Amino acid sequence: MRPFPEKLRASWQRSLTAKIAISFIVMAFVMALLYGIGAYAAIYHILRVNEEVSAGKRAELAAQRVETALATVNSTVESLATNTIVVNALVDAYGRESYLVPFLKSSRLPLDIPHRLSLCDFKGAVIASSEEGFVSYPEESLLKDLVESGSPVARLIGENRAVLLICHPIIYPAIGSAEGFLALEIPLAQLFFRAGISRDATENGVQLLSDNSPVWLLGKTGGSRLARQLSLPVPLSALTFTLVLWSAGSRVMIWFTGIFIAVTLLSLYLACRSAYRISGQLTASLVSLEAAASEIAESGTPHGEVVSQGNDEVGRLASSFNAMVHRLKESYAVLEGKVAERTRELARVNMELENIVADRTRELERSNNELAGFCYAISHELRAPVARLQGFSEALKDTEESEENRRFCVERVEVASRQLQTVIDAILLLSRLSKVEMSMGEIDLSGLAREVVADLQSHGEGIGATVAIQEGIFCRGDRSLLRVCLVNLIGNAFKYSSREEAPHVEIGMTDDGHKKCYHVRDNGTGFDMQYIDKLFVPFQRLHQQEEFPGTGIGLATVQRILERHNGRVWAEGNEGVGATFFFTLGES
Amino acid sequence: MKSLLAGMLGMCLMVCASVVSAAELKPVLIALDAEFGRTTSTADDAIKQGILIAMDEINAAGGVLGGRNLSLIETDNRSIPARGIENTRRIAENPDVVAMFCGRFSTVVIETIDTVHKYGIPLLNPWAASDKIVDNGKNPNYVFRLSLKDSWAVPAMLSHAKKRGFTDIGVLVPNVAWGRGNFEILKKMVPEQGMKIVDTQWFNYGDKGFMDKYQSMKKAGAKAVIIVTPETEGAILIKEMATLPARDRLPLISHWSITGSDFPALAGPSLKKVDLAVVQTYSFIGASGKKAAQVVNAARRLFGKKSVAEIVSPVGLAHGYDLTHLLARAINKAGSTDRKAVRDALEQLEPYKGLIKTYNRPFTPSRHEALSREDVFMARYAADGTLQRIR
Repeated sequence: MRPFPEKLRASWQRSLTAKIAISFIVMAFVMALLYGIGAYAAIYHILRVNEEVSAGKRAELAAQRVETALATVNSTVESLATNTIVVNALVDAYGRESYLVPFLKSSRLPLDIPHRLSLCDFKGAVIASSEEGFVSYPEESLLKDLVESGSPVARLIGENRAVLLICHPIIYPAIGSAEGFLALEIPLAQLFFRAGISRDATENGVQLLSDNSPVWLLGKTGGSRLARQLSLPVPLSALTFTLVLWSAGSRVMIWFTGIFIAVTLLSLYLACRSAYRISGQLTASLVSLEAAASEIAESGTPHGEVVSQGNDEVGRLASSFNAMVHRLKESYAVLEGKVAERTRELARVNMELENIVADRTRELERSNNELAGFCYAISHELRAPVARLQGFSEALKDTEESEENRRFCVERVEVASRQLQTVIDAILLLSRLSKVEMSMGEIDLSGLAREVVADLQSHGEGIGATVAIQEGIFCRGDRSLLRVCLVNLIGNAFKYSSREEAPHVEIGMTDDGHKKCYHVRDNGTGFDMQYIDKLFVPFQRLHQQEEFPGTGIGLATVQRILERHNGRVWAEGNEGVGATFFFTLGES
Repeated sequence: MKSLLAGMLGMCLMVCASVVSAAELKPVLIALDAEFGRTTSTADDAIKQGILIAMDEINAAGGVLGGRNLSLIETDNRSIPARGIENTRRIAENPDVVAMFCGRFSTVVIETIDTVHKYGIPLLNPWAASDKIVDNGKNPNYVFRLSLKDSWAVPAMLSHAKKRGFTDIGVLVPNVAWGRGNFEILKKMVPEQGMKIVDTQWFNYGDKGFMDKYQSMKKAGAKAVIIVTPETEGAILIKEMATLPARDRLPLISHWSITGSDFPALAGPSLKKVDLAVVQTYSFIGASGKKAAQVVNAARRLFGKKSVAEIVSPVGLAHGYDLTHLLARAINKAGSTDRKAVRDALEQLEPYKGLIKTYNRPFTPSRHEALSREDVFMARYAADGTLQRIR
């Protein structure tokens, strides 16, 4: 089992879906963290402040209620203590019960708080009371304050000090001093109940303290404490009441925190699910693109179609991919067609090439053969003069030969040397023809022919021959090489027609619209067409040297020149009639 | 040795004699519980002065029980019943007190009756007029009065009203035992006199105004108003009435409580504007006789009263004086300071010529009232503030 971080890393590397999902989740997490912390802190602070304000207001309200209730009660007792009925009763004797008791019983406190109201004499003995079962208030300190000082007094009495006693002195005007007092007892529980003091859901309890000692409690203590000292009139102020609210504290905060965490976790969970779903949807097209591309890569042929979802970039990519695949299919088909065609063409070209190669091979073989033949011919041609040179040189070495013989030998050596030189020059010329740089240009071939004729005739060749040169023959080629070519062809025409009574040489051109074909025709001796193959082989002569002298390399030179021009030369001969040499220059 | 013994014997005898004489000369205590703390009241002082004048005479004459001086202790009940009860208890718990006097306020005295009889101490009443004080149903009855009684005061006031032609009367009474008692008597006697109470207005001690009540009575057709008020409330009424037009001021016929004060000083000039008649039982003014002069002289001597006009609340002084003499006689008759014996002796006193009158039998077992209806008269405040009998 690979650990989770490794799995995560692997998923990240393998899958765009995972990348998007993880990125989305991380982004959501970071944002959630940042906003969450910020929002939580802000809301927590606001809630806390609100809670404190609310608690403070509740405490304030409760304190006000209690203060109002107590102040009103105190005022009521104070007012009753100055009531002339009460004052009168204090100094009355028997019979006062008839009006005093109903008066005390009918006294109503604010909020209708249950109470006991008693008229007491200067010793604290109860003269009359609103309730049965009253007791006296003989406490020395109480009487000292009330009667001697004429000051109202408040005490907490009873079990657990749960009863509030408020005593107001009754001043007898005729005496000007307190001769008794009204004593009001109120159960604190009733006071708070009537004052509407209760605890709401956020409060554990409400407590009353007197001099920091608890005297009344609703609910229970515990939680956060919010105290308000009650502002009360004399004599209640001496009890130093403090109202304490015990708040349940941060129940709201706990709920808020719990809800916040739950919502955050839920949000993250939903974000993760949504991330995966959305990223899956986002990358669905990419996945199918990848699948389609993989399939194409595997199969090597464009096929398949990606379902395009939406018109966003991915959708457009899918559409473009489909279009591309479609175009590729078409192109593939075209390509296949072309390939097939090209294959066919190639096959044909191959075949042609093969043919050409074969031709070339044959040509090469022929050339090799020719070359071999040429070398043989050269060696043969060279052998003769060289042999003669050697022979005659040897002869010259013989000192015993006569001067005439020597002179004959020297002439033979000269002839042989000249012959050798001629052959060598011809070979050199032939070889140079393969390497010389051609300077192509438009050539007035008619003009060149006239020039060559004039030149040859100036050297005594073609004397008496009529020459017909077709006018307006223009061609493209190397002027110097074509001059050589014409020199050889016209020279041969003059030579082989020199024995005719009316030698005639014709230079012309035919153009069938596709190719120009030039010719040099003579009416000379012609040749046997069966020897046509030897015609253009160097040093292969169809006539004896004595009949028609020559190097035997002229036509080979013409052929080489025309080959350099991508043309060719061929001949048609008829013995005793004449010969025509045709040539092309690779023009079309 | 002998002389030493003799000396010692002599010393012992002297010590015993002194003890005996000390015991024999121990004063007889009499208590007075009155409203000394009520500054407007002069009855308490008058009573006290009367008692002291009598004591002075008695002590000067050799005291009681063979030479024991009478001595007075006083307590202040401030006209408050609860204090009266407490004071009476303390007085009664003092074994040296043979009897006690009470003060002006019937409401206080009524409340002490039970305590008086619980401890069995004779109560001598020189002022408080409520019938129930003496007519208390107790047997033996420890209360003895030498004073006005409400059931004498009412007919005296009614007679005065009738004599003056006021048959339709208004009644202003306090809602206290004393007032309620007077009202019961009025209710009974007014019709008997052929008169009519047109309106009764009750007030509380401490009320600050009475005009609404007065106007109610006047509106009801009262031709005169019988008032049963202490001095404080009475003075307020007088002052309020004085502000009325003269024709709107009804004649007032008052019970004598207002005379327990320097009422002319309290009411001020307003008093002259109001027709006020008040119940009395004695006046030093015009009184002749040796006793009167003797008392007046004693008052001058002991209390600086330069003239009878300066004797305020004269009935208190007179009653206290006579009652003290009667008590002394009872003590001597009883031969001891035993309260029961003194009480019994009071009922058996021989005739006594007192200041107010000659008492044939001051008290009897069935009558603990030393005065009678005939001793009651109406009086007015003269211009000099003295009470003058209305003839």
